[in-house]
Order: sequence, then structure tokens, then C-alpha cells
Amino acid sequence: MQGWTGKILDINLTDGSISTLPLDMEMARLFLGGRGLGARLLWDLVGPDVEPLSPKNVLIFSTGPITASASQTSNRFNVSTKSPLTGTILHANSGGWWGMQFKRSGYDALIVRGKAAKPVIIEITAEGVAIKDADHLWGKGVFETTQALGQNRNQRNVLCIGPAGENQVRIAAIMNDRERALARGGAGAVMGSKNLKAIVVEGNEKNKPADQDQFKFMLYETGKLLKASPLTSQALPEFGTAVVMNIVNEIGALPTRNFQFTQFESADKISGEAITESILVKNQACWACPITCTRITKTKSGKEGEGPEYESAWAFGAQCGVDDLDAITEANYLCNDMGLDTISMGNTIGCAMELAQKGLIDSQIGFGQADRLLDLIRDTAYRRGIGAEMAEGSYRMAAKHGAPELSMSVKKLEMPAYDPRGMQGQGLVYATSNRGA
Amino acid sequence: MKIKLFGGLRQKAGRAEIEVPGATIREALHNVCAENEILQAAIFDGNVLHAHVRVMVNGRDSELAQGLDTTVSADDQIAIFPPIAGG
Repeated sequence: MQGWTGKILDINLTDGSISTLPLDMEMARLFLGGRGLGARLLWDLVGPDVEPLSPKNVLIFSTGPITASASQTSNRFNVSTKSPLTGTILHANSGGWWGMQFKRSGYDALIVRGKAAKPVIIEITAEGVAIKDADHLWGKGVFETTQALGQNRNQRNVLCIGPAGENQVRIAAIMNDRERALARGGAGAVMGSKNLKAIVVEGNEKNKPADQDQFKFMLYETGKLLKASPLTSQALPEFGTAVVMNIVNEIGALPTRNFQFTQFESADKISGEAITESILVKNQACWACPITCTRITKTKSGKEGEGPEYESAWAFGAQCGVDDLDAITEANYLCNDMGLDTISMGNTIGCAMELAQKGLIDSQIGFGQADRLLDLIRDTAYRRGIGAEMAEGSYRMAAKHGAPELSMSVKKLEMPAYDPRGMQGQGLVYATSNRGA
Repeated sequence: MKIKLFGGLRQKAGRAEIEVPGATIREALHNVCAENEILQAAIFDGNVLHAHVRVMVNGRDSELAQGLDTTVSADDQIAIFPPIAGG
């Protein structure tokens, strides 16, 4: 393999057929990278008539030519599909190990079509590709599923959905390597609609550069830059991505209480600095990444996991008026286990809090209620009570109560943690992004 | 005036906020660094700010005013940020 394997794995879950398609190298050149390749394949396979949660929709997992090389950060991969949240093109990407392992299994992309008659997993190993029964896994959380399928960081990697994806929650994520997420736009619901619980990969092919000497020189030079930068050698390893919390707040761009305000009085309590001082156990790296920005954390109640990243700390923090870092962190853990997008989940809870504040829904939830977060997340994953409305995303929920303007979204995809009133360039990005905010 | 420090600068200073006098940002920052060579080296390259350090006055980037020569008063808040990125 030199950048491309030249192969696309094509699986139809309706009839169980498994085939290999040749990668059109001109397409790969013109639509560079995992996102480009995924977008072009989606364009060819899905038209405007296709309902996102119907068997006619496809899930496309795709990689780029650098994926699984030794290049720094070459772990990321992409999913493309038609979003059940926005009704239009979606891409989401993730780090971890799964993308590297998938590429090493000998494919540049995987197309999943159709719908299985009952829950299944796809397993891709040196022995071949198999569709296996997954009745025993359906209903289980991401953590239990990942362990049951034999996650082994550098040898066998698990990508799966949790209860939220199974219940076709429109803000459900696809999770990989236990706590990394292809989070945005409800790709987890598409996977659930296909009765596909998990995709397990083992690979042993190497992505070797065509010019080994030039490649080594490039790695040496980029390594020097990463070491020389205070950002990648100090700020992100020491404080994680939430190091931006205070500066975003300082410039008046931290969306607060469902974007009613642009500064949060308790921003420092939920910042990267606070995470490092109070709950950080250690930092961790994705595959081939020297930056090590992942936070392994432990709350006062003894729960341990990954996160929160900046967006998640904001979503359950400033957006909901919550300054309890333990509660925010445990909300993040629960979203990972349920398979939910933390940005859309927190944003949607904040929206519900404003609907309640304005008397538009009959609920006792309100800004600052840290003790309500876990119940609201579970209720969303299982579509119970007000969670059934949240499972539709903030736009549909707010519109149902006559106030779609209280949904902080673009194309129905909830905005992340940068308020466009304080960052006007970011506003232009939200307004013009083809997938929505 | 109040100087707010973030990220690694906070660790180097040993605290999040410092009260110092100064008629300009330059004077205030030199007072902050007066007895802390490590902090001085993290903020300044000689007499100029490191290119990656941002200084805000009351939430506004000082580069949009007169940079280090911007005049300040006792009621102003100065925030000093190391390079950051995230998402």
C-alpha cells in the first residue's frame, strides 16, 4: 500500500452480499482525503429521494492517503451519510485507533447499504469479512459492547453504537475505541436503522510511502515544528482542548444559557486549567499523535473515563448554566456510553431549559440544574418523557412548541461552542457549511 | 489594575490574578514579570511580546489599540494568553 489500497469494501446488509470495488484513482485524486472520497461516493449513491433512516441510505467510512502512515496525527477517519437530523449531506470524523486499523485491513473505504433483518456486526480480519449475529449485544452500552468484542488498542478495534443509535435518536453518535466519536449529525441513528451494532477491524498491511527518505525527512521536520510550538508541546498536552475556554469567554464568544449571553461567569471553573487542577488523572494520545490532548479523568464519585473536551465542557457547562465540573464530566461519560453527540445533547438540553424558562414547555428543568443532566441524557437515549422530544434534536423540539428560533442550530444541526456574535468569521462558517453548523 | 493569567502562564506565575500598577500595558506587564524570570521569558522575547502571546484589555485585543503602548487605568482588566487551540 502506498497511500491507497485501491479497494473499497461494499457490504449490503439486506442480502448479506460482500464485494470489493476498485477505487477510481482519478476520483481519489480529485476528491482528496477521507471526507472528499466519502462525499463523492455519497453523491453517486444517494439522491434527494432517499430518506436518511431508510435502507436506501448508505454509510460510508473513508480514509485518506496519509491514514495509517507514520505521519503525526494520521489516525483520523471519516463517515459520510445522509443525516437524519438535517436531511442533507453529513460528514463526521474521529481519531483514536480504528481508522488506522481499518486502513491496515486493506481498504480505503467501506460502503454499508441496506438493512439487516436482525442485529448484526461486521468483522474484518485477515481471515476475511463476515457478517455475524449481534442479538446478544443489542441494548448494551458502548463500553460493554466494546469490551465484549475484544477491543485491543493496537490489534483489534471496535466501532459501535449505543442505545441512542439503536433507538434512532437523531443526535446519536457512532463511537470508536470506546470513547472517541464520529459525533455530529446523527450518523449513529443511520447505523441503528440498519440493525448494525458494530464494525470490528484487524489489519496488518502497512501504508508505506513511495519515497521513504523524503517521507522520513518530512516527519523529522514536522516533528521539530510540533516540539517548537508552545501550543502542541505545552498548552494542549497540559490542559487539553478546554484550554480555550477562558479566552473564548474573555472575548465574549462563549455561548451561555442557550446563547442568551456570550460570557459565562463561571467559565474558569469548567476550563482546561480547572480540569488539570481537579480531575485529570493523565493525558493520552491517539495513534501516531505526539500531542496527547486526550484527558483521562476521575470524578469525586470515583467514575473514570475520557473527557471532557472543550466542546463537551461547554455543552453541559456554559450552555446549561452549570459550573459543576464533576457533573459535566459524568454527563460526558454517559453520552459516550449511550452513544450521543455531546455538542447536540448539551445544546438541546440548554434549549429545553430556555423553553421551560419562557413557559413554553411544562417541565421543571432550568438553567444551572447539574443534577438533572444524567437523567435527561438517559431519557434522550431511550426516548422517554421529555427525552423523546430531545431525541429529535433541538430544532424539532423547539418548533413543536412554537419557538423554532430558540434552537441554536444551522440546518437543524446544533451550533458548537463559539458564539458567532463574538467570532464573526465562525458565523460565516456556520452559515455556509454544507452539513450545517 | 488586575492582570489575569491563563494556561501555562498561570502555572508559571503561581496564581491566576495579580494586581499591579502601570500607565501602559508595557509598564503593567513589566511589573508582573519584575520578580519572575520564568514568566518574563514566557511572555517577552527581549523587549517585545512573543508573537504567540495575546494581550487583551477589557476583552479587546490590544493589537486593535496601540499594542503595548496602550494606556490603561486602575479599573482596566488585562488578560494574557499563551497560544491556544481546541475544539
